[in-house]
Amino acid sequence: MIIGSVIVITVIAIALLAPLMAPHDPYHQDLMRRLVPPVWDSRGSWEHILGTDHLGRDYLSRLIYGARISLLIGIGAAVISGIIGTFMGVMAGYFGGRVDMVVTFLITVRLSMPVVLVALAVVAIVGGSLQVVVTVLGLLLWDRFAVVMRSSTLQIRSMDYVAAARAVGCSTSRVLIAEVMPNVVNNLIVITTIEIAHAIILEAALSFLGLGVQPPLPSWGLMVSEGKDMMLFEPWLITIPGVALFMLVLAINLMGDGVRDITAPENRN
Amino acid sequence: MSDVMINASNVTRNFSISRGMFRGKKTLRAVNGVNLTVKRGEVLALVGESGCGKTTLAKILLGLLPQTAGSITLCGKPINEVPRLELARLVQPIFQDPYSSLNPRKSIGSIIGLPMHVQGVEDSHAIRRQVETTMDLVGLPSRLFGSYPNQLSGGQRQRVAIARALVNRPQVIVCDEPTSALDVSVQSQILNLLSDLRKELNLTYIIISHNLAVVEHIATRVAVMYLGRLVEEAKTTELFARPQHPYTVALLESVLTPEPSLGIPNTQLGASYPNPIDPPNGCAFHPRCARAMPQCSTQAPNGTRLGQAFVECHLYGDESH
Ligand SMILES: Nc1ncnc2c1ncn2[C@@H]1O[C@H](COP(=O)(O)OP(=O)(O)O)[C@@H](O)[C@H]1O
Ligand SMILES: [Mg+2]
Repeated sequence: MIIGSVIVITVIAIALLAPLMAPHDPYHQDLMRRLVPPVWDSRGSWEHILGTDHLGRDYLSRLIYGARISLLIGIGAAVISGIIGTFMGVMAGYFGGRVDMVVTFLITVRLSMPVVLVALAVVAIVGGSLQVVVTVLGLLLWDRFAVVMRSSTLQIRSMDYVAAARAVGCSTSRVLIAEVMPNVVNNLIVITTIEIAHAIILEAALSFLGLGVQPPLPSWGLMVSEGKDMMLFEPWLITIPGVALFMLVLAINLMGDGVRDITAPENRN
Repeated sequence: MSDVMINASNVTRNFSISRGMFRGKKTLRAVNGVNLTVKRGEVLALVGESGCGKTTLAKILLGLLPQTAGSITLCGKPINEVPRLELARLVQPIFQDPYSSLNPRKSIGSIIGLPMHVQGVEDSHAIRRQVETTMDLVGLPSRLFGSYPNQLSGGQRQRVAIARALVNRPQVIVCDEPTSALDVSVQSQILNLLSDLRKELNLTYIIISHNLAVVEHIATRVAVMYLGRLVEEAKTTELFARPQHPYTVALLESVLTPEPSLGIPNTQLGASYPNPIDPPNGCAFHPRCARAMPQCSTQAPNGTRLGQAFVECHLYGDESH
C-alpha cells in the first residue's frame, strides 16, 4: 500500500514535471548517437543514462514523457468508463425492474465484445491518436463499473437508512447522492484503480500493435514496439519501458487495495 | 371526541411473485382489506406472526409503498395526495435494526439534522440547536454530535433513530419492532423512552411487535393480524383479559411459554404457517384453529363489532345470512 502510493505519486510527479525532469528533448534525434546503451553498460555514458533508441533519442527523456501518456490514457479512460458504468449500475441497482433488465442486457452485450479486437477495429477505421484511444477505451471498459456498482447499490438500497431518508422526504436524487453513493464509493475507488491499470496495459498493447498513439509520441507501449526488432542485441530497449509499465500497474493496484481499506467506515474511530 | 389521526379503509397490497421463467406470476396478498382507525394520543400495537404483513402495512402508512387498493387518510388528508415534505412532517418511522437504519458514512449530527435540511431549514445554527435539544430529549449526550454510528452502542443508535424521527416534531410515529434487535437490558429503556416521549410531545404511535409483553406494557389498543387480515382489534386490557379470536387466544397462551421475549412466539398451533401465496379457503386460520367449524373452510367470516372491539370469526356475530 505505502510502496504502491509512493510509486504512483512519484510517477505522477514525474509526469507533471516532465519538462523539468527530462535531461533532453524526447523528440530530438541524433543519428550519430543511435542505440547508445544505458550507463551501467561498459559502452554507456552519463550523457544518456538510459541510452538512446534507434533514432538517437534520449531514452530516459522518452520514458519520462511516456509516463504522461500512460497516466493520461489510464485516467482519462477510467473517468469516462467510470461515469458511464457508475450511472448505469446505480440506476439498475436502485430502480430494479425494467431499468435493471436493460442495463443487465447492455452489460451482457458489452461482455460479449472482445475489447482488444473492437478497439483495434475502431482505431484502424478512424485512425489512432491519443483522443481516439482514450475515447475508445473509455467506451469499452465500463462493464466492471456497472456490474460492481449495480450489486453494491442493490445491497445498499435495502438498508433502512435509505427508507428513513425517503420517509424524511428526500428526493430520489438526494437519496442516490447523499445516502447511496457515499456507501458505494470505496468499491468505486477500487474498480477505478483496476481500470486505470487495465487501460494503461491496453494502450500499451494497442500501441505495440501500431494502432494506439502514433509516433513520435513517446508512449511506453510504442517504445516496446519500436524496440522489439532490436530485442536480441539491445534488450534494454524493451526491458526499460516494460519494467516501468509493470511497476506502475502493480503500484496502482496496490494503492487501490489500500485506499479501500482506509475508507471503509469500520476503520473510523 | 378525540380527533382521528389515521384512518385506513380496506387497504390492500399485492405483490406479484415470479415463480421461475415458465410458471408465470402469482399474486401475494401481503395486506388484505385492512380497516384501522387511530386517534390522537393512542398507541396501537400491531401484532402477528412474522410474514403476516405488518411491515408492509407500516410502509404503506409511511407513504413508502403505494397500496394496491383502499384509502388512507392522515389527519384527514388522503395520504397519496399529501406532498412528500408535508407527509414527512406528519409521520415518521423508527425501524427495527438500528445498525441498518443509520448511514455509516454520516455523523450523528447530520443524521439527526437531515429532516430539517430536507424541509429547507438553511440556518445551520438553528439546526444544530434543534438537533441538540432533540438529542437531550432522547437521552443522548451532545458530545456525540460529531461521532459516527459505528462508535455507538445499539441502544444509543436506536436513540439516534428516535431523535431523527422526532426532530421535526411529527404527529405520528410508526415503529416497526423498535426493540427486537436490541439487548434485553436496553429494550425496556427504549420502551420507557418511547412512552415518555409520547406524553411529552403528544404523539400517536403505531407499534409493531411480536413480543406481547412489550405490547401489554405500552399499547392502548391492539390489532391482531393474520395472513394480511386484521382478525381482532380491542383495547389492550380488554384483549388481554378476554381474547375473542381463537388465534389471539393461541398467541396469548404462547406468552406463558418459558422465553416469551425470544422472537416469534411459539403459538403451539399444530399446523405450520400457511404459504401466503396460496392462502386457505374460507377463514385463512381454519387449518390451525382449535375451534374450527364446517363453514370455516368454505366461507370467509365477516367482521363483527363487539362493543368497542372488532373480531373476524364465525364464532361471533350473526351468521344467519
Ligand atoms: N417487496 C416484496 N416483494 C414480494 N413479497 C413481499 C415483499 N415485501 C413483503 N413481501 C411478502 O409479504 C408478506 C408480508 O411481509 P411483511 O410485511 O414483511 O411481514 P411482517 O413484517 O409481518 O413479518 C410476506 O409473505 C413477504 O414475503
Ligand atoms: Mg416485519
